[in-house]
Amino acid sequence: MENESFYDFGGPEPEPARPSIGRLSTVVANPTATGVEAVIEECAALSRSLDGILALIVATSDGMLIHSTWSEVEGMRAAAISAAALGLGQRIASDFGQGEFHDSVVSTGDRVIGIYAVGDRHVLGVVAAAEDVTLGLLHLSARRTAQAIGRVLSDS
Amino acid sequence: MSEIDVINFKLVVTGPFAAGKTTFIGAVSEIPVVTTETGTSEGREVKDHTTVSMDFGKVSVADESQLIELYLFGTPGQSRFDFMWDILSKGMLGYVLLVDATRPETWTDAAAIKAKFDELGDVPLVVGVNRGTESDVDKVVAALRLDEAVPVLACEATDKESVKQVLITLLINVVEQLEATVKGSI
Repeated sequence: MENESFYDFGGPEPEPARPSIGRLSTVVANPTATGVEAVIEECAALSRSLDGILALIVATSDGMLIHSTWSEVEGMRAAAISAAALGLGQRIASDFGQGEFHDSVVSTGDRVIGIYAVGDRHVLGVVAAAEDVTLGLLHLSARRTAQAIGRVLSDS
Repeated sequence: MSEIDVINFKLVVTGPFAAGKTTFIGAVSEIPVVTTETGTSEGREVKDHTTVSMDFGKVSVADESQLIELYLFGTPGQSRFDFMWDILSKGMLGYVLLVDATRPETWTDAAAIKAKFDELGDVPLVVGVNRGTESDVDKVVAALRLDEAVPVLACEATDKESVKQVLITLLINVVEQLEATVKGSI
């Protein structure tokens, strides 16, 4: 089962907010509906401000979807993967870098995928077209978005 | 539709190397399973692929009034990947410990994994004895020194109905614990 063909990259189309996430997690508080709206707005602002963004995802650190520009099933899978990437990144940061995880980058020929810590309980994933985006600019914008989302989620 | 409550449960599927965790999740998942398998460099006589980060699948259980979505996170089996156990157990409400009835030499690993997971969260577990019969169940209970409150079920990780039985048993225990917690906090 190759994931390559699974994800659809039509570019981000803001999805309606997911209904409330239910009592899933004992660790991460679920955002309110207004919190989710604000997250969606921050994501939309990021894709407006930067060319080449193909997909975005925000998830809890225990792998639950808050918002993605993919379909619900794709988003659900991406949420689990993003949380695992965050956890692994945090482990690499503390063990190899003796510091706090900020972000990690996966590059393919065509795409750049950034995984950004959002506070210590959420994660932002950004998929961009390599030919349309420079890494420095992506980091600058995505880190700013991660901070904004972090503020929204800690307030909601 | 809008009358139905959707409740999401995060469950972890763990157990020793080659216990059948990836197969277990694949047997019931309604979505294409996220897998992170790679070729094995040791243990090839047992199997040639192994999970290095995680598996992820989802299955729904419904009755008239509510829809319960089970999010299944599968762990790697080897203890060198124990950092993934910490990561994947975040927020879990229960876990399945899968053991292979035909390879008793892996049962000490299973006991070690159980000890680690009991530290990671005070949540219910169900032991699935893969490729096992009722007599294997007794052997596993003895070898792992399982408390009699822990449900132990013989199962086939390749068989959807069998996997569902294990998950439903766990779900019942999770719901009971949640209800007890809610009552306790009032």
